[in-house]
Amino acid sequence: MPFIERDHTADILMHVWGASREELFREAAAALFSIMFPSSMPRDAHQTIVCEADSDEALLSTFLSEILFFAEVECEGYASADVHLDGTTLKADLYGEPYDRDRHSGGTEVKGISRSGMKIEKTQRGYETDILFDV
Amino acid sequence: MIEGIRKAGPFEWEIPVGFTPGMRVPGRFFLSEELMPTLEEGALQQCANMATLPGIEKYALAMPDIHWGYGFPIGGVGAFSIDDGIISPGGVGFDINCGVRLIATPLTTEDLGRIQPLLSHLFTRIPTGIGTKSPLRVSDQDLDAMMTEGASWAVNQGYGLKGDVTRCEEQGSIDGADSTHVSGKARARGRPQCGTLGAGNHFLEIQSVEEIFDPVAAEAFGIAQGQVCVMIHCGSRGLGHQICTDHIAILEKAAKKYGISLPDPQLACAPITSPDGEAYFGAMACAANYAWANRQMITHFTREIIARQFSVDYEEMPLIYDVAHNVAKFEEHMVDGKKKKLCVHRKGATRAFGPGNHDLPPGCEEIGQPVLIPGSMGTSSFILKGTQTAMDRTFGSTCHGAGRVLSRSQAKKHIDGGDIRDRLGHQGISVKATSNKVIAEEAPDAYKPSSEVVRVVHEAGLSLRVARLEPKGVIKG
Repeated sequence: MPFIERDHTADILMHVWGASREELFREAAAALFSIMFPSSMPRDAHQTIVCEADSDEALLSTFLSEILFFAEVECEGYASADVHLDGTTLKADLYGEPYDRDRHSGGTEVKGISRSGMKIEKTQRGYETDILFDV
Repeated sequence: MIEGIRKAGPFEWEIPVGFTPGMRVPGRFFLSEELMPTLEEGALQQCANMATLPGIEKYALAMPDIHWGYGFPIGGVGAFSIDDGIISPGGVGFDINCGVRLIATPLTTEDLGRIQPLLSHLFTRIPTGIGTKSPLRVSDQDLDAMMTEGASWAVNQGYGLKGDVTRCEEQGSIDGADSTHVSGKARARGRPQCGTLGAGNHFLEIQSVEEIFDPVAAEAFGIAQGQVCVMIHCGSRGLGHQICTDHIAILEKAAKKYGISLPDPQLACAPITSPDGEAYFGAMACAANYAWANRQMITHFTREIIARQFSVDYEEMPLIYDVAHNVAKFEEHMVDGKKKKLCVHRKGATRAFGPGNHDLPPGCEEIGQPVLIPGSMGTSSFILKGTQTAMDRTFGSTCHGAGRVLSRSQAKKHIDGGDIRDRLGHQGISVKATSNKVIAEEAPDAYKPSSEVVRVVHEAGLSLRVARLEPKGVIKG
């Protein structure tokens, strides 16, 4: 799995990597889904996110924050994301299912995507960053 | 001992200027020798980072429940000059006005009997956990009124007693709330969630008063030995989370515009008097007021259920007090002998105003403000009173809770939620939660002992013990 949980006392710290920027963003979404919706499946819920920001870090936190917004107002749990990046613009399709408290309980609510310690770096295996999820 | 810090008093430590580049003032934190091993370098660094922000007065402070968060450490308190200081969502957090209130009942533990039916009724009536929505339909106009009037709005709608607002910090609403700075997204999250408890560390707990340390203060607060009380811990829900998210993005650009260098992007900020700073304050105040209204509505649901189940009057369940844990507010404090209006940020810290302050509930003018410190599930909660020492040393602030020592991932790995449920059951504490996982993450073992954190603030004089409460039953998201 291209993300791993690191120790953090109060919140959930994930280290995420991908061969390309798009893969990094997709895996960052997968890391978020693993926290909030560990048992959701990509079924009949679909949302499209379009956003823009002036740095990769701002774009990543905006993208993940948009997922939190849709999950809450549409009452859906997501399992996968297709991500397309064009410079500073992102378009993503989320796939999941309506949130069902009986089937999907066990996830942890994420309150926000912290910018603390988020720094997207080019490394040997592509792109990597830490992401701190406030829970 | 972490290198570079020095002891400044029996329970006080200093992080000197120079610990991290750009510090304008020293950092000061309160901790006992016993709690020193729990101190994380990350938390110290975050305390030092606070000290680099423009306009910070005296010290970057942290309470004994200090731990590693983002932006400010949890337990962090920073007061900023109105003239040249900043305001930052990193000093408040995503869960704006996450706070605690305590409601008294005329019941004793004997009256309570088996607690499971009460917990089940509360769990059914109060939406709890992820994906739950309010049973109430709130219009956009209602939402605006909630965001500007706070607890008063809820009381005027029939969710409470007239006296409730006088027993809330700031009378349950901050002046200066400006809903024009609240986005459509934040509104869309806030409308369906009023009157919901939320998930994670939020809870509603049935407690009993087991020990009175200060009979005079206890009587003034309305607390008696053996009495059953209800503690509610929750905040501004998705509305506050979205307001924080929206304004961090705005303030990150603003910080560049105003030439403020940030050691951590989460400390994005702007001068308090700038349009960007004022916009954040206006929106944050909306979330804070929403949170007070939210806790007021949960109070109403709770009173209705207890009134029905135990044949007691709604009026016999007064609010003891309601305090905010995550908020930035304008307050007057003495700085070097002069009274100054400051923007005080408390992130995981509680206001603890001493006797004689203008914002104290009726009957507490000479006692000091009631301070509520929740324990973790299965451990003691405390009522304390605010002091002049807190006014002199910490801008009228004290700790907010126990403070985590174990990460959630470690807690899940090493603690079994079912075992904790059984262990608490043997101690006479019932837990109703959406899953065993949330019990494992929030297990008592994952927190510093609340009694030790409270001992430090008591010994340091930042607030003084009034009563100890023990849990009997808890509902959690």
